[in-house]
Amino acid sequence: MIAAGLRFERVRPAELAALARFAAEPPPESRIGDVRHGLVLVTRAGVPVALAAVRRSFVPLPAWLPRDTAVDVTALGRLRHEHRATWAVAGGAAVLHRLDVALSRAFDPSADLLACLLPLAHEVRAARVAGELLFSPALLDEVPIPAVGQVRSAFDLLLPDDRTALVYAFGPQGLSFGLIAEKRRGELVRVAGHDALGGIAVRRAQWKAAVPRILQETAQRFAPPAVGVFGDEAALRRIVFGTEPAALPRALATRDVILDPLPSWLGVLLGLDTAAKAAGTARSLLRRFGPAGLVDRFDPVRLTGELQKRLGAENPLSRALGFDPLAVLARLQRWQDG
Amino acid sequence: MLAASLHYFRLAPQAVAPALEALRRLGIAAVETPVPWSCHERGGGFVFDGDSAHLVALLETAARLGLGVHLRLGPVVGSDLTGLGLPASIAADRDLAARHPDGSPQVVPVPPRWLLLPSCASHAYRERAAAWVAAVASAVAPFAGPAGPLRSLILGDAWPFLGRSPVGAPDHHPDALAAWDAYRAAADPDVRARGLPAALPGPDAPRPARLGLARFAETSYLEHLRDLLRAAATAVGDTVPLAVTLPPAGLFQPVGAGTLAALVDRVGLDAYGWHERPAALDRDARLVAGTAREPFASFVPVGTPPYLPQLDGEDQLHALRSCLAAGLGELVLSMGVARDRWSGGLLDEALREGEPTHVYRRLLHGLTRSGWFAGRRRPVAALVVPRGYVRGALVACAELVGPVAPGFASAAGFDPPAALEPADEGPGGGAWWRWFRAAETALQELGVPYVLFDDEGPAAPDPPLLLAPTLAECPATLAALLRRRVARGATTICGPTRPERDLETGRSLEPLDGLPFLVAPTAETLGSALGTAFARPPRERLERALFVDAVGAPTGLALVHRGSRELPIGLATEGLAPGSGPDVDDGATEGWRDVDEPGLLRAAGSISPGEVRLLVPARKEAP
Repeated sequence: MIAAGLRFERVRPAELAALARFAAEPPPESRIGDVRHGLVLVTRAGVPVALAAVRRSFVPLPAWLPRDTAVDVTALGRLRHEHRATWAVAGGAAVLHRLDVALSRAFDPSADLLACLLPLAHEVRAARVAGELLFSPALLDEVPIPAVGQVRSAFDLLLPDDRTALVYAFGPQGLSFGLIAEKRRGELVRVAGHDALGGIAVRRAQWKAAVPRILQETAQRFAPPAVGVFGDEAALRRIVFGTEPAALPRALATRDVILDPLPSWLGVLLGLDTAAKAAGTARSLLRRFGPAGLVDRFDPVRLTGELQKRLGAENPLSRALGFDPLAVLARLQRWQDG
Repeated sequence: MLAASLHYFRLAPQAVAPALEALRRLGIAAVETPVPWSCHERGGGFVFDGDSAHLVALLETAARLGLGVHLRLGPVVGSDLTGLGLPASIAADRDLAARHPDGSPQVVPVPPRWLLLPSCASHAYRERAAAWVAAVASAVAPFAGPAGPLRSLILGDAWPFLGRSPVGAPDHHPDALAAWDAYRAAADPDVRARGLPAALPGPDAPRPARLGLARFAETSYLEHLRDLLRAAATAVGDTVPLAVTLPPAGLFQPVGAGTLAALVDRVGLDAYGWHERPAALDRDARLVAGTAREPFASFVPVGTPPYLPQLDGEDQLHALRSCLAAGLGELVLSMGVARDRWSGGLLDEALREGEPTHVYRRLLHGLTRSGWFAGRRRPVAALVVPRGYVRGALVACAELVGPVAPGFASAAGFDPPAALEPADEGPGGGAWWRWFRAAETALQELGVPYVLFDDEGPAAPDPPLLLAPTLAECPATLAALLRRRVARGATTICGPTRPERDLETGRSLEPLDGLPFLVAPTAETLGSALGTAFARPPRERLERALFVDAVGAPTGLALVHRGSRELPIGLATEGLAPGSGPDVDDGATEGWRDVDEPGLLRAAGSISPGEVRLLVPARKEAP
């Protein structure tokens, strides 16, 4: 899926910085949190030895944390909350040795990065189950680990060969970032920035006017676009971080987000997403007024599955992956609930 | 040397000349480029001329344009290349790879394709790597000499052991097992008894055995490096200087700066760091400056690779100024021309200037015109970084985090020994680090210019004050250095424990009579040792390092502000008139100006906390 000769060209530092901000700094009302705020608890035979706050330094172990007994998930969660960290992980040399040996097993000189990483993800989960590695929150336990073939099928569905995918975000100053991904012979061969299109000017309020030209230049310089996401950065953040019910349908209706081209799989996905969001809204209303027990019956993830059955429109991405990616996203969006 | 990186193998042959000309217009005197083994190997042989391997064409063009060229030969050049520049025949060859005790190969998980860690002990790998270096050195030898463009050959891996800890995951390649036996047989009997068990230790070995393993792993890498240096020297003779580099691993280098400096005069630092977490980069730069005979900055970031945490423009300029302030005499700006798998650079792929280019242009022109590089920094104090204790910290960290190189943590702002027990006075404990940090803080509070140096280096600096962390078990070379200084009455202080036994053999050391000893150094005690009463100064934690030329005339002043409030520049430079330095009074200078400000405009404004500012005498310049 990722070519050995992957090219990464003409991505301006400002674009890269905007992309990093977009991915790492969720809106304040988000339930995900800044992924850069993490805690690493170094253990020896399960017993805490040192605590490191990512992006800061080592921090003292709190007095309440026993130094002579193995740490558990509850203590790790408490540490996370005390330090207002988005995530926390605990582990030591033993688990790193285990994963290091797993690297050897996973290594295949002809395989790409993802094909090597997926078996490693199983090892991480096994270490988690064995209690050698602790995570807080434990949400990652529920994220399915697909097989390499499933990921490859999903990738082929998302982006057919000899086509490109575009993601553009526009902020108050105009273009925040624009990335173009090109796929050939089943592999991602190039990721390019907006500059690679030869300098198409994008004005702040008129970014929509630039979309046809961007698509045209992409087709000429790289390959015809298969999917393009163009949007106001704030609207895209609301959608990705799930800070507002029905953010996507609303953004599409107001044209704060433009999907062009819109592949059929995405259309199906969005229809179901809208229904799921509607169910989510109903659930929040019920929480306010409804009797106990009724709320759970309006679980959006469960309803999505029921709607899929009723409509007879199976999400093709779910079919390829073996699980519903929207359900996973919805779960991750409730990160802070742990 | 004022060089910028240009990756010729990522450019079409016809694009090289315009790129070199554009860099020359910016004031760049030389280009630096990796020479990836993977780009030049063809069917068991090597090609250095041709459309996809135009190294010779690069040298010819540079010669025509009057530009110098520095070549990084690796074998592992990094540079965000697939396989880090190793050909697939090496990067995926299990026979050449370092092994786990169960015989499985050790893997380096880097994008976009993982690779196997080549074993430094593998005879087959070492022969192939030396053959590569010999081939490329022979190909470029005609460009050496005073009239040629070749300025230096940089050898060795970009990060020895490629980010893996050789103590946390020791190499059990069959040749490594044999080398261990030979190493053990040649060792002093006491060393053998203390830390060299009969079988090569595994990842769970006791600490003394791991200490032996740490020394052995360094020795293996150094032997490999010696092969490479020999191969290069055979091809180019003494017509081209040879150099090595250190990664941005803070003081917790995988291979000691001192042992590298003992091999070659020129030692470079790949400086990559964040201005918010300045300690690692600051220490790196001072360590190289204090240990090597010809220290230089082999990589100062202009831009950033897409897979690593981003450096912003302020980080990049801070790295550049920190290297210069520490006394690194030469610079390579990376990248000069933007490239694949990189974001930023002095010039973009179309050779257009980017947003920060004018800042660099002014700085480069200012450095050249002012004669900054003719000056030498004069440290008042030197703080020893005992490699034996650093090795102890690497061992202790391997017990905590296994195969991950502690240098990564250091580069990210986490000092590995800070996680160790501060009361532990063994070489794998935190006591020596606590003393080192106290001494470093005291020097910074005093505001005196200081360097760090690795005690295994070729020559120790000889400043008015030398500080050395020592434990009861002390490296014999360090004890000898302390003894020499005490004998001639040079001010020297050690602590937290008086040296009693040799760290390696355990044998008693000759008593160090008369060596002042402090449990915890402070600004007051160090000020007293320097003969100056310390009082909390108005220039709180401002380091003022004067640079002087061969006749003692000031050529520059580096201000490093670690205090908590802004200082007016007049206060920061008070008492340091450039025309009336200790050895000179030329009467022609008119105060200090910023190095990147042309003309006679005197430095103004204030210096902010965390800022590094470079000043030069404000003299009338020749047109």
